[in-house]
Amino acid sequence: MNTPVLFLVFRRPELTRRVFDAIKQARPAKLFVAADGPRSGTSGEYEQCQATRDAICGQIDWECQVQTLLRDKNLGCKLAVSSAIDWFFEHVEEGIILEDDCLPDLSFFGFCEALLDKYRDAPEVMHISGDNFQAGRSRGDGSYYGSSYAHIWGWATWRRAWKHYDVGMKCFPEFKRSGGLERIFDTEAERAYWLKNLERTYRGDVNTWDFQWTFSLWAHNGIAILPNANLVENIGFGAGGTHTVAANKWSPPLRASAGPLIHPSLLVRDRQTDEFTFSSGAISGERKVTHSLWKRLASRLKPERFLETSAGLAAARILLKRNANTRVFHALNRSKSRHTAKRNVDYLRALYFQRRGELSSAVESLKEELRYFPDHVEAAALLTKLQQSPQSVGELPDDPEFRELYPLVQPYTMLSASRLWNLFRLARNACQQDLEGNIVECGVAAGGSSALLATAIARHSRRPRRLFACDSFSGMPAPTAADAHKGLSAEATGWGAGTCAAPEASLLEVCRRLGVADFVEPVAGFFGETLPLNRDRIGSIALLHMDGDWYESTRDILVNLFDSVTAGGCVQIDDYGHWDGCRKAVSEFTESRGLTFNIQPIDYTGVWFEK
Amino acid sequence: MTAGKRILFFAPFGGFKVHHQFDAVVASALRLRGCEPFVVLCDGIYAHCDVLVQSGPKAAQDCAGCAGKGKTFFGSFDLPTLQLRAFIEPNDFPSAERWADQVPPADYAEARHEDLEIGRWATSSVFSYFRISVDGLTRPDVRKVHRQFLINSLVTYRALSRIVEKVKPGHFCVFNARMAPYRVAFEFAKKAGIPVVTHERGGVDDSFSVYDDENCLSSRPMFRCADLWKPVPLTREECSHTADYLASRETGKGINYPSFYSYNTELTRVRRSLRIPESARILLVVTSSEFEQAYSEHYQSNASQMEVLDRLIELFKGREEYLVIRHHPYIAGMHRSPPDYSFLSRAYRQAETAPPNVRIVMPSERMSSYALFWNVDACVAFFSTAGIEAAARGIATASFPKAHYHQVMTRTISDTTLEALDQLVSELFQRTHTWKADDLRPIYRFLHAFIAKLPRRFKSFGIDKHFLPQIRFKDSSDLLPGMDLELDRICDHIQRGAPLVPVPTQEELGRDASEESQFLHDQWEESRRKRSEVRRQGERFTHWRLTPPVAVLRMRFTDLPPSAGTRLRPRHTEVVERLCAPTRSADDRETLRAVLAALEGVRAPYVLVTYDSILHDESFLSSASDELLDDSALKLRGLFFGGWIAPVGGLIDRQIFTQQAPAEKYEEALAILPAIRQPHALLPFCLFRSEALKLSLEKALSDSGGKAAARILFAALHQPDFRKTLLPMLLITDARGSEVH
Repeated sequence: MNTPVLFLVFRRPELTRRVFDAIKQARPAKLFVAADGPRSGTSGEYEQCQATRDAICGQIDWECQVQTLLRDKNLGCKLAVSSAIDWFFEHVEEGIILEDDCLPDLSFFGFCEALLDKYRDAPEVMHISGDNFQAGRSRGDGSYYGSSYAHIWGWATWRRAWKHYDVGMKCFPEFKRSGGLERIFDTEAERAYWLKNLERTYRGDVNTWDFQWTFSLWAHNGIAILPNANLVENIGFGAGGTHTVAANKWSPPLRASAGPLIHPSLLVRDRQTDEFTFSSGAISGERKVTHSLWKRLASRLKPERFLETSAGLAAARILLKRNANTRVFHALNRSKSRHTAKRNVDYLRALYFQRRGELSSAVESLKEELRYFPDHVEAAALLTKLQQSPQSVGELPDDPEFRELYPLVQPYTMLSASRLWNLFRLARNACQQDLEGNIVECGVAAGGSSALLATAIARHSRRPRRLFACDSFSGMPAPTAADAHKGLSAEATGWGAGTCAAPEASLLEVCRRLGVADFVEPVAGFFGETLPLNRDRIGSIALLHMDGDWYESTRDILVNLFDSVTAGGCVQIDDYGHWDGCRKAVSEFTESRGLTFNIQPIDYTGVWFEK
Repeated sequence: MTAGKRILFFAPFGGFKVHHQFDAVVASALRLRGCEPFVVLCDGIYAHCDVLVQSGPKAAQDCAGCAGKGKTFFGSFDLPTLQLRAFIEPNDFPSAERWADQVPPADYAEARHEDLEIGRWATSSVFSYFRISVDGLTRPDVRKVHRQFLINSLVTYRALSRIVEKVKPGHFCVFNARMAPYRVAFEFAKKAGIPVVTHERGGVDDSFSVYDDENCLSSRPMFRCADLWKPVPLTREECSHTADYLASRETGKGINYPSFYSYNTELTRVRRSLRIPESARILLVVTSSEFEQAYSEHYQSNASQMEVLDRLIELFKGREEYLVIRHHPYIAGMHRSPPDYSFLSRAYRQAETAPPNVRIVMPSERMSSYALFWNVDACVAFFSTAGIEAAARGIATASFPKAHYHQVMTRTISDTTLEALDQLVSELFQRTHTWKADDLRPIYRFLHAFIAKLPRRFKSFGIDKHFLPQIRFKDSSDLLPGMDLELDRICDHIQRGAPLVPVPTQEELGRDASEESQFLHDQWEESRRKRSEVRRQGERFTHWRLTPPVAVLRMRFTDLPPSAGTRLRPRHTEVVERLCAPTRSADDRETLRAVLAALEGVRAPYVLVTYDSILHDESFLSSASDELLDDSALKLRGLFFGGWIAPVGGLIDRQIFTQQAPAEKYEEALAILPAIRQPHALLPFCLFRSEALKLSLEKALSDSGGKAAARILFAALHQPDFRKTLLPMLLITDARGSEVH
């Protein structure tokens, strides 16, 4: 191979040996080796550094021009690597750069050589990487695609591109002021992540060299070429790594580039794919932040606050994908209790539920994520996956109207088909029997059941009638100690404060879809505050759907609305069987009033009775 | 044919069966050919002899064993034997003692009895008995034995004269003709005009050298053989055989004797180990054990090795090249052979004053001469066979004029003035530079004569595992003429005076030299290629090598006057010196604490603690730090070396923590070096990893049960993670016999 190779090594002899064996197979005619020196006072580092050098010296058994930059003293990652690449490009016009932990497939060399040649005179192309983080997805119509991300686990570039590298990032302030990141990234999370890291790098808080290179690309509108197969595996995760100290969950396994190199019809930055790359954790998962995130989570440093950052979410994703990390889950739940929607929080909760086998909870969490962040590709994908076996039509009641409506409302509700059917049946009966009163739903969530009730009104009511849809539209209030399920507190189950959230827009959306929005009157706020104020406006009630979950919420509904329920009108309670608090509130209310109801079960939790 | 010729086989050392199998088989063969052999044995007449060198208190037992072995061995061949004792008269020993009493001890080496040069005949054995050179003859213990050897020799001579008078032999057959009784027999035969065949182990495996009227150390048979074959071009096969011999020597094989060392030095590491720049030109000087030169007048030279070395060292103060002096490993002693303390003492004195471009490889340093050959540019080998081996690899080499192979050396060293040596060195460097394939021709022909024409390999017997006789014939019919051609050659020589060495035929003399030329050309090219590759890879090796800093903590007691200058002369370049200055009155624990305090802030990975009274070999830090650096698994906490011990102003007289004096128990070590009752006196023997020294000191200080810190430290340093090299690499001046300053 004629393309020169720069091999960057430090103190990991075994990895160096493996990577060097791969380089040997490629037999580059020019080999440059740069080795950082040992840190004085670090036990065993001289020996490790020497063994690393020994892994190369004397093993160069092909016709090869070797040049070396062997440091006696340690320069650190930032200067050792950047100065080594400077040195490399003092000698060559273009070349391949490999660190001691980047194990390339043999096809990587040919890939780089061919593209170095093809884009030699295309100044916008600044970087050719061997890394792919697309989890098997092929991007574009070629063997590679364009990106803003200059992955550096095995890469190549030209002198003409490297000349833009500035380890001090002098032009970063101007880049930031002129909205450089906004031009490159579409999502706030990416911008925030990169702003933070570039600022830290600019300030010198991070001893690294590669953020500066990524920045050089962005500052000069450069494009990085990324392959559609992963050609380099990072084998350096573990205790010996400088930045990659955690176990490898990042570097995909090696895949040789299959077939001939196909050039894409158009080489531009694929912003959507870059966003996928970012959200999948590959960026934050690269060596820069993983370790510190990990440590911060592990040190209980207010993880819920940490999770409010995109970096924190990335770390939580790592942990939850690895296992059902309860501490992270609780942090996510605490984040939910703030009643402010944060991207990824429900998606990550879903990952937690999925790992625990609680698939219905996972599905509901994913739905919540998608209510606020409908562009969440991964959440959608996971939801699709989890819903691959939807409830068959055969299990639904043999009612053509309900069968027609069910698929339309199901994505917007957490209610089971049985409870939905019972609710629809009661509403339709009330309308057909022309019972006096409106229909009230307390606990709307995404609005699927509300839309169903509004449709019953629209289609079957013989008198003007409205649906009052009461909800905070920001998730549930905090539960009390009474709110437990099988001895487990509501918070511990993952369905505590802030959960079951959906924006009012979700309600209106589904109602609009069914053409019943005009029948719906949202009442936003916690029941204890809104129901006393709206009780008179609501007036008599033909059907009351109580889905407040908690003791206090249930009590507030009964205290404020039960008396408005028309004789012969019905009440359906969604959480009677599930939440202890709900059952307790009903029991206390009936006892206090000396009432007795013929409570009819619907499923394991839902019940109804006629007043 | 001389029918019925009587042959006297002189074989007093019955335990030397490798050699006396030659006598037994040749005697048996001659008997089959009509001769009358008889064997002279010893049944324990000598109070001191070469057999008993290492016997000590078991001398009587060993002596009886030796006599018994001889009797049994020759008895198994059913050969007629005579005991020397039977020919010694009652007055022989008393009169010999009276004669010896009259000889001044200083004249023992030249002692004469009437016209008999008894002193010359006996002294060779004294040199080898004690492994000393002339300097050592003044030692009282040596003189005592020397006197006894004189007496033995005179008595042996008289006994032999009576035996010869009785049996009237027509030929003598004598082992080596160097060791005292054999030399006496040899000299007796020569004086009596009786022809003598001498024999020794040969230069290649399983072979014997057989000479006619010559001492085994004589160069003449070799010269005659070489001269005989000098005009004969070698065939390709013979060239290959010679090249193979050189290659096998390099691995310590094929030399009919165990290798002096088993280690291999990587060719490409040599210059790095020496810490000599790749671009520097090097003159290599290879020394030999001095006793080996002392014990034969054939090796005597106008100047000693050490004298020439002194001048070369002086000369190189003004030269830009490097001088590498490689002292032979045997000088440091081997197995049960004692070191040559006199030589070592002189070598250390030279080392202390040598300039930076003189690198002295002490006998204990693991650096093979073969590895050096590929890394140097000229060579001086006074007597050592290393000389011809260097030359065969294309290195211009000089030797003393009496070296076996001096004929094929580039130069011989006859004039040892500074001016002459200066010229010699320049010429050697120049000659290597202009060396041609043709220059190998005389060397190859000489070597081929040495390995293929001079030594005799017999079908009927040989040498197994260097020291065991190997009788191969089944019955006497295997010894009949025509069965073993080499045996026939010896018998023909004794019976009819046929030559002992094959003579070239006309056909051989008329050979075309083209095969030889082509081979030598190829060999030379290969040699050049290898040399170039070694240098190239060596340069690469050095280039890739880290040089970790070593912290040297110099102990200097504050209430003692400072010693003049440092005695550390390291080749290692990254040395950071720190002073550790406890008070003289500090107790052991306070002193160790002072070392610990001095260790604070040391960031170097390795540490040496030393004193002004200790001279570490110049390679101590470099070789030890190289080994620690290569221990990437960090299995070793340090390397523990041995040392030589010398009284102030005196010669080295002891050793400690070495192969010969391992001193594995604290009490044993204390008996050798009382100074180590102070724990800090143990520290200079070791190059520590910094953290290991700290831990060892803390451990020594941690004991509150009253156990001496020195014992604890001694035990700690003898754990497996401190590698005991058993190599003496420092010289301790034992100032007052008990304390290190």
